Amino acid sequence: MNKDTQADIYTLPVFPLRRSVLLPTIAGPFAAGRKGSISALEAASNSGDKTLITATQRDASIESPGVDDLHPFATRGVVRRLFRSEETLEVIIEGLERVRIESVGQEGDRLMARAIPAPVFLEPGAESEALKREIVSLVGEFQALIPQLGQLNVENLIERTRDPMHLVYVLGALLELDYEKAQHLLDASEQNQAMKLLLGYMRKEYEVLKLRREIAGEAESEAGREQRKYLLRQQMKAIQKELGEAGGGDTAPQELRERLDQAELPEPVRDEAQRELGRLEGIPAASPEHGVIRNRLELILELPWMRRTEDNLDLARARQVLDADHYDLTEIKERILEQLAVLRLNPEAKASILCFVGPPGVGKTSLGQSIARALGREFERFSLGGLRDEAELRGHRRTYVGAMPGRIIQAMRRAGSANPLLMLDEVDKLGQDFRGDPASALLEILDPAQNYEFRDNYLDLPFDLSRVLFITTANTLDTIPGPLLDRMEVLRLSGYSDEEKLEIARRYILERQRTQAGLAPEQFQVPEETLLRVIRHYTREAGVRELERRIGRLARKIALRIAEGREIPDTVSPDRLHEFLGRERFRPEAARQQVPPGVATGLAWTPTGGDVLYVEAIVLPEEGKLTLTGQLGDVMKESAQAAQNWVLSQAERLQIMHPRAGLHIHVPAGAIPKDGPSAGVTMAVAVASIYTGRPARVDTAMTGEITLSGLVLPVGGVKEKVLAARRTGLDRVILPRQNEKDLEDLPDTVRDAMAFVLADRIDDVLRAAIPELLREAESTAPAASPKGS
Amino acid sequence: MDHEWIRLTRRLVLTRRDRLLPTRWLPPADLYATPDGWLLKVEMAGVAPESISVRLSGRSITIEGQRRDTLLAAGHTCYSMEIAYCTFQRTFDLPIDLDRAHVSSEYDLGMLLVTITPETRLP
Repeated sequence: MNKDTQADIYTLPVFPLRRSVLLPTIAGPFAAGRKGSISALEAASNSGDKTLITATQRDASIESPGVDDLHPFATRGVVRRLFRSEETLEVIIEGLERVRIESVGQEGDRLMARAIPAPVFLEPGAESEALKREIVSLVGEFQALIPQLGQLNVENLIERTRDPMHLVYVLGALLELDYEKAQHLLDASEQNQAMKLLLGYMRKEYEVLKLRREIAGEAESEAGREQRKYLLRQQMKAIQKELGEAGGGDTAPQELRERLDQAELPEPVRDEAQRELGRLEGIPAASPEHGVIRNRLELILELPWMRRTEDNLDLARARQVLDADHYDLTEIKERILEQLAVLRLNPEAKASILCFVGPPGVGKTSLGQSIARALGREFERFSLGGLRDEAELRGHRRTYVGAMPGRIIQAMRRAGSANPLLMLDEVDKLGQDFRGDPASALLEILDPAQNYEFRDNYLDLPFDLSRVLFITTANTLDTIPGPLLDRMEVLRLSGYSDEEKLEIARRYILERQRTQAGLAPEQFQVPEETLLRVIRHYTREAGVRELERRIGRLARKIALRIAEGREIPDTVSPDRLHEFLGRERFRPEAARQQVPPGVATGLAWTPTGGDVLYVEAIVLPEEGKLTLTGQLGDVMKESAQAAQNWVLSQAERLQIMHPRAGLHIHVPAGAIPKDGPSAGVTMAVAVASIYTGRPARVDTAMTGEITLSGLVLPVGGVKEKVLAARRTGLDRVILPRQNEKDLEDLPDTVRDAMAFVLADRIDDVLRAAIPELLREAESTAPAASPKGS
Repeated sequence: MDHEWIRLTRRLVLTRRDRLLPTRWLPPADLYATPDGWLLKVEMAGVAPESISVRLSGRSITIEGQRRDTLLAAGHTCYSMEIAYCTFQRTFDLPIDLDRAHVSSEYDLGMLLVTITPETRLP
């Protein structure tokens, strides 16, 4: 009825669109609020064929557009659905054909346009066919990225579409092009031109999509994560802009509110978060305060307030995991299993805080990891070494610029569960200065009676740490403050003997390094003698770190030979080791074969294991003088004096000729500082030996503290010391009787191969160390193996 | 981040699908085998009979046309519109050669009835 008869000229009401375009053959929802638009839609709905013209405004801000404000290329459409709500009309309009607006006139509130059909000029030919195929293949790639798109069966649609422009418009709608691009597509009056435009848009969209996919897929990877997030945000912005959703405002509060609604939080925390969110919404995004509040809110939302992992309390499995990861360490594994058993009987049991003490490289940290694995808990660790500031642990107040939550809260955030295994390494290396005392902050954290409402300065909300299984590690207990030590259950990991290292190398290290170097089992055959040589001649340590590096090097050298096409040995025999690892680094310190009077063999404990040390004494012509050299600490100096004076007090019994002679005691190696009371017996033997002129036995090492009344007191580090003696080739060791129980820590092989003399008094030591000195005494010293006594 | 991402993608895909859904109006139809041949009933409420055309080609029969709103009166204001006033087209394939069949159509109670009688009875 609105079609002029002379030519195909329509006179139809115009529905002006803002920021959207209706493409021919596509149906889309629109809302009309302006008087002119409502009037145009009413006119269309009162016509027989319900048609109108949709034209996009050049400038969305114009309320009542005229002919110059509309894009001339527009779409004739039919109203398919209409729904009237209070102020607006909501319609679905289906685009029918592309038209060109000739003129526009006002009719009441609405615009009426005279428009002529402007079909796109079709150009069948090689180029259009090529373009079409390109589009089809790109659609295929889209579908690979968005599986849901597959349900649309777009390819089928393409196959059936005879009019290529239909395809262009459908894909244009699917891409949700922004209105400017869609208008360009509508403006195109030639098929190939339109297809090229579409291809350009599709390629761009595809790149965006691919990048997003990549980011979603690699979200786990640590590297470049921040950069990806940045990229993603840029892309989101671009996408939102394309969708016309930018809104220009700050989306952070809404986003946070959504997350808050979904988050599982205790009530007081939720209240606080709501309050904080309210403040955030009232603050402009540019304000520095905004960032502070937002960061805190994000922290609150990310912390695992209620989230817990289920403990795996299968004892057999736990034992298996622990055994698979670590050799021996029976006592500690037993302790972990006990804890597990307790948890099984009483799930609410408070775990005690364990402290692993031992030399570096014995596997403290990795033991923590495998405990976490056995329990099925999240594992987080951080080092307390050199931590000086209490705020590092407990967080900074938010008033400070760059304030952050403390390490504990950060670790909980990373762990993502309220009951992780938290490993605090190097607890013995905590610093302390005027800024505060982190050890005191640790007191609160590690106390189950207090830590159920741990309050971080930054978070400023009580957080429950009582479900956390804390494990600390230390190399020595000496520097740990008493109250802190009191809260922890100490488990000692001592150094490994050569035999244990061999076993560890055989079971764990060889395989690991072989795989890392990419060698096949038959390419990397290392017999035991070779391993033992590496252990003895290339490493000196209590743990196995250096050993692992050496074996790693060996594996790499062999890999290099294979890569260069050189021959490789079937097995790495000990005498070929220098080809791979170079000159031997260490020569096991051979025990001295012969010593003059005045030299006694002592044993020392060092953080890296034990060592043999010789105490040398000579008599000086000056009377009564005692010179001590060799970087001795105060305790050691005093024990030297005690040794001298005790020996002199026994001068008569020991038949000492010149009790008034001065003495010089030296303990090599002179550059290494030494301290501690455990060289007391060695000093006493050295002094007694030089005064009496009788040499001490060279095959006997000794350790023990002495008192002036002649008692021998127990000392620490017995296992390391005995292992050092064994390494040096000394098979006889004098120990305080009270240290007898420590012998149980020794591997059976070592214990059986060595003789132990247990001493109660210095007399027992002298009898065992200096033959014939106390021959006239009533009984011989009891020589005992630990099993025998 | 991931969650947001999934939500966004899902929304994109869903809106994209919605945008494709309200396509052409497809008038519903019933097809019967009769002792004499076939009967096709097509719902044609509100369609003027003269605007319906029936085309035959080989084995397929195509019904097409346009529904226009003829029940209009001045001063009425539309509040809700669900009926599709637009062109429509439906094609049915039958197991007989329609060029050699007798086809007649009539319009009754808003239904289009197409009767198809083959010239030679099927065995």
